[in-house]
Amino acid sequence: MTFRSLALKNVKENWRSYSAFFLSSLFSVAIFYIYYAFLVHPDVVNGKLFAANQVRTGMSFCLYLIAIFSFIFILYSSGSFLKSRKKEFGLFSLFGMTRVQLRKLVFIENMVIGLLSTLAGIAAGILFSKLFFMGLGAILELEEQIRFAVPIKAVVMTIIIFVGIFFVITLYTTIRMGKGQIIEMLQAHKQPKGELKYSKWQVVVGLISIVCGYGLAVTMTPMTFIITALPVLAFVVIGTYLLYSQLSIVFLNVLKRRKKLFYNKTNMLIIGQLGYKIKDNARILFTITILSAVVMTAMGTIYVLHTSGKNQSFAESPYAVAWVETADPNVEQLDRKVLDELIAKHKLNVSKEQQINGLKLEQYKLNINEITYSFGNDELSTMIIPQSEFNDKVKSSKQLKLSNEEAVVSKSYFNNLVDYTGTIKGNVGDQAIELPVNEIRTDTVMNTIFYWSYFLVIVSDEYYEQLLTHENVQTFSIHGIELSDLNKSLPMLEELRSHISEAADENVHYTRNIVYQNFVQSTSLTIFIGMFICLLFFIAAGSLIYFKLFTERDEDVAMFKGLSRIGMTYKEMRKIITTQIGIIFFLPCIVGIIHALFAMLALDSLLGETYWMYAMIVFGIYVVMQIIYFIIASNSYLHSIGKGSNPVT
Amino acid sequence: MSVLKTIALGKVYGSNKNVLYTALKDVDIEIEKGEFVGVMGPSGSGKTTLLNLLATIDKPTSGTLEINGIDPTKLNDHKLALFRRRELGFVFQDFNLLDALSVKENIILPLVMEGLKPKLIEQKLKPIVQLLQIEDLLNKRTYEISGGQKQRTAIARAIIHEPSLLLADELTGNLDSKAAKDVMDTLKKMNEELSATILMVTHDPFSASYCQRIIFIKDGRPFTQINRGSSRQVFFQQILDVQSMLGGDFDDLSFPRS
Repeated sequence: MTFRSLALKNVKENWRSYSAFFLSSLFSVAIFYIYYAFLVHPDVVNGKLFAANQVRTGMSFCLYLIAIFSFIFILYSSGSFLKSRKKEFGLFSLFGMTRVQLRKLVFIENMVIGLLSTLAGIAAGILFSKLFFMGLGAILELEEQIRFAVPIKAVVMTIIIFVGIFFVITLYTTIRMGKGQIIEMLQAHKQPKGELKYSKWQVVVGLISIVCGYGLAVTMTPMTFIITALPVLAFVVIGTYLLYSQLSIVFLNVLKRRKKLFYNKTNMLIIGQLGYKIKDNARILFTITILSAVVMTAMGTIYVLHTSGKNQSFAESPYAVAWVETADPNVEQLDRKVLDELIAKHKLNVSKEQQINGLKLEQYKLNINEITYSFGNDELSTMIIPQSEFNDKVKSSKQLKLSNEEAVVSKSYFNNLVDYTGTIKGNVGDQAIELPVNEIRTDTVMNTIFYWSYFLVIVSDEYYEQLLTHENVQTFSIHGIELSDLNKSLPMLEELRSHISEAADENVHYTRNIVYQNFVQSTSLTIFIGMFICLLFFIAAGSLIYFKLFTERDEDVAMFKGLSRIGMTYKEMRKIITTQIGIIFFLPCIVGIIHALFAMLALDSLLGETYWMYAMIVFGIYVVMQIIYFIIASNSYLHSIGKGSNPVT
Repeated sequence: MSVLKTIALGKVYGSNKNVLYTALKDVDIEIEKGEFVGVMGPSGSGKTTLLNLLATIDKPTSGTLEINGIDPTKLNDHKLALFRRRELGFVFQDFNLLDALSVKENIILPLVMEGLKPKLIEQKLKPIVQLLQIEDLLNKRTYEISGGQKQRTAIARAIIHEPSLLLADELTGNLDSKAAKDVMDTLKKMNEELSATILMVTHDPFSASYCQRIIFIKDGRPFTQINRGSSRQVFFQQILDVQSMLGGDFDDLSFPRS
C-alpha cells in the first residue's frame, strides 16, 4: 500500500464523514458556476436582456461576494471536518506516522475532495442552470426564454478559482494542523463538561439589549435612521449572543425545577443534554441566527420594495391610458379614434373604462400640517369634483358626507398625512376660494395627470353647483381605459407615443405599463441575485449545523449505546435525537425570524406603509426550506447514530 | 423459583464465507432468587458472549434462555428494550454514566423513562442512596466524583427499578483496590439486604471471592463450579487454585468496553 493509496482509500472508505464536506463544497461551486454562467451568458453580454445592463456593476460585485463567501465557507467546512477526525489522526500519530506524513495525507485527501467537488459542482451547475434561467425568465416576465448555454469562460474560471481556493485552504489547514499533543487528539471528544453557569449581570444585559434593540427599531423614523441604525444592530447582536449563552441556561434551569415536566420520560435526557448542546453551540447558533436574520431581512426588503412598487404604480394609475377632455380649444387633446384604431390593430381589448367630471382649481396651494404643497410656481391647476362623483367611483371605501364649507383631499401616497388637517385655496374661474381640509383620503379614482389633477379636491354637491356659477369657470373630464394584456400593450403604447404631439403630451398619461415593465425587470434581477446570495447563506447556515452534529457523533453514539443496553427503545432514542436536532435547527430560525420581523417593522416606519405582511411570504419560504433541510439532516444523523449504537459491538 | 435458567445455550459466529466459530456451547446455568453468582474464565473463554446473551443484546444460536419465566429471544426489538429496562439491571466496567446529568438524575433515569410520578421517584430514591451512602453526592456532576463513587452511582441506577436480575461486567476493572473493595462491599449489601439476584463476570479473584458461587467456563463450555463456605479467605484461595488449574491468560486485562 503506497501512501497515496492510503489517502485515496481513506476517502473511499469514510465516504459518509466526507460527504458533508464534499456536498457543501459542491453547493458552493454549483452556485458560483450558475451565477458566473449567467453573467457571461451571450444574451446578457449582447445586451439582449435589457434589465441586465442596468445592474451590471452590482452583478459583478455580487460575484466577488460569492467568491469570498465560498472561500470562508469552505475554510470553515474543512476546519470542522478535520476536527471531527482528530481522533483518527491521533491514532495515526500514535502508530508512528510523522507529522510531515500526516500533513501529506491530509493534503492529498483534501485536494482529492476539492477536485471532485469542483468537477461535480460544475456538472450540477450546468444541469441546474437551465432551471435557473427558466426561473429567471418567469420572474422577469420575458417573452423569450433565455437560451441554454455552457459558456466555456464560466467553466474554466470556476475551475481555476475553486482549485485555487481549495489549494490555499488545504495548504493553510495542513500547516495549522497537528500541533497538539497526541493525547489531546485521541481524547478530542472526552473533555469533561463543566457545570452550566450563568451570570445574572450578563442575563440582565442580554435582556436589556434585546428590548432596546427592538424598541429602537420599531420607533425608527427617517430622521433618526442614521443615528439609530448601528445601535440597533449592536444591541440585537449582543442580545442574541447573550440569549444563547446565558438566557438559555436560565430557561432550562427553570424547566429542570419543574419536576413534573423534567421527570417525564425522555424529557430529562432532552433537557439535561440540551443545556450542554446549546452552551457548546452558542457561537454557532448565534452565527446562524444572525445569518438567517440577514437573509430574511434582505429578501424581505427586496420583496417588499418590489411588491410595493408594483402596487404603487397600479394604485396611482388604475388605467393604462388616461386623457383630458375639455371644451377649451387651446388644449390639444388625444384623438379617441387613433387610440381605438391602435387597440384594434394590436388585438387588445378594453377591459375597463371610466370617466370623471370636474372643474379646474387654478393657482392652488394646499397646506397640511403647516407644510404647503404646490407645484410649478403656483401656475398649475388641479381638479375639484363633487362628492357624489367621488362616492360613486370609490364604492368600496367609506362614503363622504361633506357639509357646504369644507373639502377633502385625496392622494394615493398620503398615508402618513391621514391624521392631519389643513386648508386649500386657489381660484375657480375669476373668484378666489379657501376651504378647510378636514380629511385626507388615499383613494384613487383616476390616473393622475400632472398638469390637471395632481390632487383630487372633493366638495359637497351643493357647493360644487355653487362653484359652477362662477364667472369663467372651466369644466373638464378625464377618461381612462384599462387594457387587457400588460405585456402585449407595450408595443401599442410605444406606437401611441409617436402619435401624440408634444403639446398634447401633458394632457395624456400612457406610460404606466412601460415604466412598470422597466421597474419589474430591474427589481426582479435584483431579487434574483439576492436569491442567489441568500441561497448560499442558507446552505451555509444549514451546513454549519450539520457539521456541528457530526463532530458530536462519537459522543452521542457512546451515550446511546450505553442507554440502549439499559433498555432504551429505538423509538425513545429517535425522539431524543429528533427533538434535539429540531431545537438546534429551528431555534435560530425562529429567533432570526423575530429579528427580521422587527427589521421589517422598522422598514415600514421608514416607508410610512405597512408592508411587513409581504415579508411573511419570504419567511414562510425560509421555514419550509429549513424544514426540508432538517428532515434530511436528522434522518441522516439518526441513521448514522443508529448504526453505531447497536448495543452488541 | 429460578430467576435465570439456560438450557444448552450456544452461540456460533459465522462469517459470510462459512467459517464458523463456536463461542459458547451447551451452557446450562440456573440461578435462584437472591443468589450472588460469579462467572470466571480465561480470555477468550466466552464470558463476554455469555453476558451479552444474558443481557439480551445478542441472540443465541441454540438452546433456550429464560429470565424470570420469560424467553427474551421471542421478543421483538422494542419489547426487548422494555424487557431490559424492567427486568434487568446493568453495571459496566466503564460506568456508562451520562455527563449531562447529575448523579441523582443518572440514578433515577430508569424510573423516569418508565414514566413514574416524581413523588414516587423521590420515595424510591431515598432508601437506595442511604444504603449506598451516596446521599451527599446527589447534586454533584459525574466528573466531580471518584471512580468508586461513580460505580456506586451506577449500582444505584441498576437496582432502583428492582430488576429480577442484576448483571455486572468487570465492575471493578477500572478501580483501584480500595475503591474495588468499597464497591464489592456495596454489591454484597445489595444482595443481602435487598436480596437482589446478581450475576457478575470478572477476572479479578478478589472481587469474585464476594460471590456465593462461581461458575468457571473454558473454551465456551462450563468447566467447573465452586461454592463458598463460611470464610472468604478460604474461598479466595480456592478460586486461585481453580484458575491455575484452568491455565490461560487470567492476568490480562480486557480493554475497556465502550
